[in-house]
Amino acid sequence: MKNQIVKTEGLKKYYRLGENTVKALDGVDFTVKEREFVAIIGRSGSGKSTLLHMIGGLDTPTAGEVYVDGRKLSGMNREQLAVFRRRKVGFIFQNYNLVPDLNVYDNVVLPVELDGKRVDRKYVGEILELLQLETKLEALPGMLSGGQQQRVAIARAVAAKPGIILADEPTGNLDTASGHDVMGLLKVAAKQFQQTVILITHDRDIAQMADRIVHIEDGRIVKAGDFHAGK
Amino acid sequence: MLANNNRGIIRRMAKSALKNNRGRNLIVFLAILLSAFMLFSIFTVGITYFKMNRIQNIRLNGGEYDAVMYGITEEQREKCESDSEIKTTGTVAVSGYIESTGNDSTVDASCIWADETYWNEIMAPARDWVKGKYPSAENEVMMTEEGLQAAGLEGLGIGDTFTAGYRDGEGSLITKEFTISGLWDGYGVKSALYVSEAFYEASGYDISEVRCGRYYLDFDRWIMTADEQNAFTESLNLGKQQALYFTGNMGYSLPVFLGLGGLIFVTCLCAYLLIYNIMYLSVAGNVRYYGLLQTVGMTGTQIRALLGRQMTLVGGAGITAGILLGSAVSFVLLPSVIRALGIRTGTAGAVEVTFQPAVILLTVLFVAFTVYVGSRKPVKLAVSVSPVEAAGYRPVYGGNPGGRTKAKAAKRHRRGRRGSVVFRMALDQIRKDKKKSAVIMVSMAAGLSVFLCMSTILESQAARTIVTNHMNTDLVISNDTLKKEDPAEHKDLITEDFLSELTGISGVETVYPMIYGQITVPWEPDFAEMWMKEFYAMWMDIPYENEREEYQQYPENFGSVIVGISREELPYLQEVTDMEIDTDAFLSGETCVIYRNGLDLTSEDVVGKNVTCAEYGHSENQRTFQIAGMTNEGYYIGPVLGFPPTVIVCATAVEEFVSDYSVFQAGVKYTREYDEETENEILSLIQSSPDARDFSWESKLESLREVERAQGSMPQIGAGIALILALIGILNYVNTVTGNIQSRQMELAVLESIGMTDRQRNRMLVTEGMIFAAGSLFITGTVGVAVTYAVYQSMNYMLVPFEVPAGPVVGMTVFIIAVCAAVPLLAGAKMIRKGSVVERIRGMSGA
Amino acid sequence: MDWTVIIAVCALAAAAVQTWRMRKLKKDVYEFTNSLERNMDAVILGEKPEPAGETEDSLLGRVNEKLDRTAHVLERKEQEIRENKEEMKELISDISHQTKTPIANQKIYLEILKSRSLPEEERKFVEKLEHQADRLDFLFKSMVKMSRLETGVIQIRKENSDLMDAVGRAVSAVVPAAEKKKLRLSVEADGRYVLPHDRKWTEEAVYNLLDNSVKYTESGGSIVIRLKKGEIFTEIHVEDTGKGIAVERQAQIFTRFYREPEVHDKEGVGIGLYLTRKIAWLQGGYVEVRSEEGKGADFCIFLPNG
Repeated sequence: MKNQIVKTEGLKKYYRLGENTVKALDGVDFTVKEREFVAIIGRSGSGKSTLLHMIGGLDTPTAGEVYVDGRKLSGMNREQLAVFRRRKVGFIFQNYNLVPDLNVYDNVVLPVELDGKRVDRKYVGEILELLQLETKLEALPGMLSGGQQQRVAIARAVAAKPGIILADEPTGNLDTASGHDVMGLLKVAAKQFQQTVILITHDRDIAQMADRIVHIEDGRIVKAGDFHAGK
Repeated sequence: MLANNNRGIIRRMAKSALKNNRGRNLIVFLAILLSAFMLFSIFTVGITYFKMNRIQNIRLNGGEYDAVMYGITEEQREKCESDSEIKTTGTVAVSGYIESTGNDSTVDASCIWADETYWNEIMAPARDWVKGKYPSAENEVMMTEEGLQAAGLEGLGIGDTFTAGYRDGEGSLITKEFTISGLWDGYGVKSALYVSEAFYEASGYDISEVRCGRYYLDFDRWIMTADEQNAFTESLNLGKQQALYFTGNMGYSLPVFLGLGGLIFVTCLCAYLLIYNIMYLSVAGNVRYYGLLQTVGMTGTQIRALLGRQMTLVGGAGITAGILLGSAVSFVLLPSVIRALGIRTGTAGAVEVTFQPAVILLTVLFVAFTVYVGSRKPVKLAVSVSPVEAAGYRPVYGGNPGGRTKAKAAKRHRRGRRGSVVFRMALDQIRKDKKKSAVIMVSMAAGLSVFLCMSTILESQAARTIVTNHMNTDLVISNDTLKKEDPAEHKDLITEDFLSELTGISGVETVYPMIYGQITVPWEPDFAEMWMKEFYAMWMDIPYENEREEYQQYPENFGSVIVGISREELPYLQEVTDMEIDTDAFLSGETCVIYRNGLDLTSEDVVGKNVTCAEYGHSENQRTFQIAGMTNEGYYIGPVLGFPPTVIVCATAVEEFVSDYSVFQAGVKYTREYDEETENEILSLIQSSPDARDFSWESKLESLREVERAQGSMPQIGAGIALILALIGILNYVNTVTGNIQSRQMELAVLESIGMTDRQRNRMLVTEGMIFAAGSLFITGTVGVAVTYAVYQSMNYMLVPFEVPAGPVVGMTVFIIAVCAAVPLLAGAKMIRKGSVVERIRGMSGA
Repeated sequence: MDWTVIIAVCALAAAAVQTWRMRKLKKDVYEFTNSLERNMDAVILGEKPEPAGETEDSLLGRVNEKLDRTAHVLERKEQEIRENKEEMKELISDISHQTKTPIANQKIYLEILKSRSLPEEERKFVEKLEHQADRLDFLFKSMVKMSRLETGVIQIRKENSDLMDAVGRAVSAVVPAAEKKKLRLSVEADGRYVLPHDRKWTEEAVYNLLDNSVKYTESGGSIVIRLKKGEIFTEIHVEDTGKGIAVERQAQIFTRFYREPEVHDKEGVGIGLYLTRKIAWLQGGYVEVRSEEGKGADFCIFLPNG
């Protein structure tokens, strides 16, 4: 049995919105095993983004615990969370969120350099080759197509060997074809570099590409299709 | 724990951020450059001014000191020496007057003994060179070459001797052979002979006497307000004849210092506001960017380092450029500024612009501090950005996500039902970020206020500082012959005919002639006795007792004058008199006013007493006036000031009383102030008189021209300063508006898509600009005017009513309105060129 | 000279020395960290750490020596694992080899038995027996392939060639079975699809998909093989009109020995799709299935273009 790299226990997140309390997450118990590719699917407002933010240490829960790689997130301060993200989590966003001033190569190695670590050029080269970006190293994000930008984002997420990649609607801004390409590359890259991927999406087709699909609705997991995907 | 060494990436990111935000950084760079330039110039002007001022004062005074006291008692000396605020004290004793030497029988030179501290410390900076040594033997003297020449001793050198006759403290004339022990040159009393202490001791003078002792004080501080000066004088318990004079230095330094300090403050404020605003906008507009950096794992410390590094680079470049520019400009402009501030090149030598490391250090320090303070808040904001913002799907504008905006929007909606849509939207825009709007208004207002202040001060310089003529008349004409001692030379120049011609000139409104007659005041035990006693105590070295008898017997040896003024002038006399004058009694010649002549007499002492006058040379013709009050107005002295009181009565009384009276002076008031034409007519009238040379006049118009000359290029420089500050404020505005329009690009595109025309959009943008203009003008009109008023009054020596010049105000208003209208229009037009509506709506989703 | 000046100068000098030492220490620490990191990366990658300062009496030397030993231990363990795998492989190939002859003999005897006239009942048993023997044969063959792929003994050799070659061969291999079931087979492709791939294994992967489709498609159905070149991947679709796969089982079908619950009676050992996925992965691609129960299935292999 593989390690559980992500585990949440009774995770709750309530927002106050005027006079109402919005329950973005209402008691979520959820585990992800190492090297698993999990899709969380749900309608917008279902709480799937919130769950992802919690796992990434971007947001703090109202109640409950998040463990990532055996570490409890609730005890960490902002500074520690930043370092945690830098070393353990790679993010991929719908709007790519690349640093506009940095070229492709610098964007990809940014998390590594932020940690003051030596850049493993061979490894980064492999990633870039896999993602077919080797000809775009000097380009600025603004000069790239959406699909290319998202591939840079994947490369960035993988480059720091984070162990877990959180993808928030990575294909949301892309047309079907390049969305599919991006997902395929994400899958291939995760496989190649042995990473765990948690993906949120509202698109069933995209979710189909995962090893496992988790449905979330009104802040609760309604159907966890855990198929014990063999390997 | 050991910190991670991950600075390399920060350096690289800072560099690329600088490269990619050229516009923003250029503005920050310019702001820092301008403020560094301003501060550098202010510091250089300040330091050079104070240095030159010191040199000028040293040279004018012949030594480095802040105050001099005439006569010094042991008690006072102890007090001053134990005063920790006084750096140095030096004593000088006048020990006799040389009256003749072997070669010259009419020498007038004093013998002065200077003690060691005076000679070595206080006087040293004023000397250029010294040869030989300070006298120690009784017959040794130290002189200058000019002094030797004046005494007819040119060509003598050290070791040579000469014979001179001098009068000692007892008044006896002594002839003595002196040896020159040394020579010196420099600034100060060059005719004097510096003598030894032994000479002083034998001279019969004592330093406690006002005629002998000069006690020089050099304070530690270099600024002392008038109040502090008075308090110090008070604390010394001066004797009646004793006096303490402060050099102009200490009093005048303060306003200059405060003025420069104020400018430094406003400059820093403007720069601060701009840097703060730009940085804040840049951070607020990039919330996602900073959130993103945090999701990627950048810590707060690293973000701080990133922004800090950018500011250090831009700031360093700006400061360097500013200092370089300042250095260059200082060479050109500084001399004229320094002269305008009142340094005369004649005395202080050519203006030397000195670059001191302290100036550079201070500039760097101030600007760096401003930059630091200005960027502290924005950096904090960048660090506090929640990484979730970066994860949001839509870019967030403004800093308040969630329900607050909605609630606010609803509230706004309810509130704003009236007015045109365009105006409401413009107002909403400004209200959306009140802090930002306020910052811009304040920063523009700061520039405007300085401009307002400068132009008001400069415009009113003449009015405030001209020592105006009596009763503020435009011209005072005097008959100079009446000042001559020999009555034979007296001529009646300002005759009836002359006066009527004068009045006939069309531009002349009123003529106030002042007539005078010579009188004596015979002794009587009451008022005359009291007056003379006081007079001797105050002004004379000899006791009154010695001369009372002469006065009683020969009052004609103690002449004085009676002054007659016209009926029209009475209200003014009343103004300068401390008691209420009964008009009828005065006009009928029953009462008089006495010129105080600086005596220690109060009105209570004299009012009600009678003063008896006798016509000079006709002592039988006597007349008695009751004293109605005393005045300090020096105008009423008349041509000569006698020992007995100067009596001021109404003109008719003089005409009745004295047979030989004449007009001494006439004040002329023009219909229009500073009327050049009228003045020229009067002057040509005077010139036409055969005795034209015996007239003298004081013209207000000439004084005005004098002031204008003295100001030199000050107005241009003042405008320059205001312009730089205004420029910083406008940079701030430009930056905000362009940034604002850029971040509203989508919103504007949406408005366009639902049918807002270009005209309407421009109207909205211009309305916004107008609100900014109105806001900053409002602040200028309130706070700016208040500050200007305070500054004005602190320099308002002549108590001229406060008035803001209309021209500059109108110019300023038009200028600011034009800028506020033009900038958003240009920014809007630039935006349009970026692409179609759809492109702009969509364009926002990208990176 | 004034005492205070002397003290100040001394203090300044001391501060300078201290600052210099701090800087040096910092530099040393950074160097130490960098060197350590480099060597640990090497160990992770199974390379030999660079022996910086191993013979020096320094902290780095101490740590590097330890790292070297760690690397040795890891290498030994890997060696053991490799050996174990090798043994396993040999075992499997031995099993397959050793079972080959018995199965072949069995089949021969069954053939002989079938040629005799047997009563209807016996004949049925013999036929069943023969079927089971075929399955056994297939199973062993597949297991050998699998073990070779799994243990990495067989290397994927990517070469630039037209994908149509591999696809064509795979299609021709299933033609007999398809004809037997009366299935329509068609290939939709235009142009050449030159991309780096391993011809033999790609053929195997496509064949497995086709084999699978033939198995699960009722007679009279059709199978379409479609090639499509995308921006990044070239897709090989195998679309059938079979019974389809329920959404919740779609992720599972690619796992080893998985068989659709209701088709246990059919031939197959649940290994083909697993192999296909493995082959795609090893070539930097992936597989995907799109299907709805009762509406056929669309299996697709994605192979990277570059």
